[in-house]
Amino acid sequence: MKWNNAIQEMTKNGSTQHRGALRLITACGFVAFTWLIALPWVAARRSMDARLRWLQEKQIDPSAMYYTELDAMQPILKRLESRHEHGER
Amino acid sequence: MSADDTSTTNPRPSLLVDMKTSEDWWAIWCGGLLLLISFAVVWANRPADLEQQVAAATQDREAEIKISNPLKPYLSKPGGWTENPLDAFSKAGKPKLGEPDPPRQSLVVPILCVFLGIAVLFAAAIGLRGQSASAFLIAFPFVFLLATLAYVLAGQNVISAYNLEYALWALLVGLIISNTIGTPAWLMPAALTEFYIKTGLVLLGAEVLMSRLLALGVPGIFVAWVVTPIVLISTYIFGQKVLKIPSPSLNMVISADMSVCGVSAAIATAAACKAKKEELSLAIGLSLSFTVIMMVALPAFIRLVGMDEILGGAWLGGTIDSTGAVAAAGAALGERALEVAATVKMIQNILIGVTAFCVSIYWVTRVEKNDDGSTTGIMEIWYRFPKFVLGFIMASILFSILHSSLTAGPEIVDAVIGGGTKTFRGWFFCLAFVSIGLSTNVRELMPYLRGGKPLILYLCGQTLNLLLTLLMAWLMFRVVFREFIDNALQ
Repeated sequence: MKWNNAIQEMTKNGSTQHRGALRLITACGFVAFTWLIALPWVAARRSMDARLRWLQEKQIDPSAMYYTELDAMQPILKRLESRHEHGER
Repeated sequence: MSADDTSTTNPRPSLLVDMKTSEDWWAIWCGGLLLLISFAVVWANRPADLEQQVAAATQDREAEIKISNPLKPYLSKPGGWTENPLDAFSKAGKPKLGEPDPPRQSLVVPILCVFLGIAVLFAAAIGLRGQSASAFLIAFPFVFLLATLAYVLAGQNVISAYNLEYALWALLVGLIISNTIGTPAWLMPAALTEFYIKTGLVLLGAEVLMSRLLALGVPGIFVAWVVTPIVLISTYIFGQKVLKIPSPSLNMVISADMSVCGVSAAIATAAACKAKKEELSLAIGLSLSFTVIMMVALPAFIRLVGMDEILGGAWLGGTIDSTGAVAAAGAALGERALEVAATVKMIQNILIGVTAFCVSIYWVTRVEKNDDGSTTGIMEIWYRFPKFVLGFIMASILFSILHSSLTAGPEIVDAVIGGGTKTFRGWFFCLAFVSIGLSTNVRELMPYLRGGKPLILYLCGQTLNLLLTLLMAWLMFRVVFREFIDNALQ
């Protein structure tokens, strides 16, 4: 009886692990398809390509979390600080 | 039972013991050490003719003060890419006039240096706290690898163009592991969500420069520092009294990320009010979703109604959650809108320090009440207070003083932050979100979504934010201080 229970438990664990691995492979496949095929395809569209070039030209990273991560902030800060200093003089 | 009674029945560790063992204090020591090293390196390598460079820059606006951080070439994160993810591990060199484009520089060594830096620092901290440093060192390479993967996913240019920050992908990477094969127990010693967040926040403190508060004078203060707290407090009260959101910490984190500045404010507030990891995840999910919509819809609306560029910029800066999205939306309107929007957002960014401090004080005095409803004593407030907030505030005050008082202070502080600590801070937050994902079951998020209350809270708060900010921006930028602003932006 004990052996039967143990075998049932192992089969159950094995099938849970199997399902988990299958879900992991599916999720990884979805991520790989999205990032390696779908997004590069979107990036190659004319309107998106133009937007990406425009952002690069303006030194804007729209995913910047804080102002210190934004390259476009540097010239703005320089202008503001320069105006402030020259205003004081 | 009074607060004093509590302290007698549950003996508190002495300050010295607390400083040696508690996570909050170790976050301060680790963050402080990184700031100190970065500052020392920049200071030791400052140019000998710094005074002359400053004098020249005072005379001529175009003259540059050149200060660099020698650590910068050795610290990095994966960069942007469009078609090939391997491009994330190299960056284009700076082209020189008349010369062919230089070859791409590899980022593998700088990323490995960050890995080693964090591994050594945290292993030492964990060991000194009396925990197993070896268990951390076994697990950390894998957690770091997952954080690297999250950065690569976030670096795809279409993804980053729509403000889908690394926090979201770090969460996703962790969630995929924990909700498919399950997070192995041996990985958990490096899934140190709070330690990473608190250390990252101490480093963020150095970027909260009070000396930049007056960048746009009084109008900027009114839009960023008067409207924002009003919206934050009103939204929180609305969530508690009208929507009756069961978790005050979830209410506070959503109110703060919506009114202050998105993910960074959510992280700081969640740590200050000891919010659950699921609450932080939900709040940043909401914030990022609405930021994508607002960064596209608001500039279109501003153009449609023919709103003034400066007013539009101030409105964008005060309402869109994320800094990068504000800049993208502002630039869509024009150069002056970009300047106003980004500067208003920067002033709002600085509010993070005050928000985190006030929320932590409010939490320990009003939300974490004594069982018998008695007033909380000063010592009890001190015991309950999240100490890392002190490190965050101290770093902000210290670097604000250095920024405004040192010769070439702005350049030195920029080199300290830009050349080193900013990179570490990003990695710490990324590792924190991977850790949240690794320890979260998607089912645990479901109860928070029931009834759609968080969504209603966000929508109502953001509507108030849009209306109040527009009114204040119009009043300050186009009525009361119109001439001052127009002159300042010439």
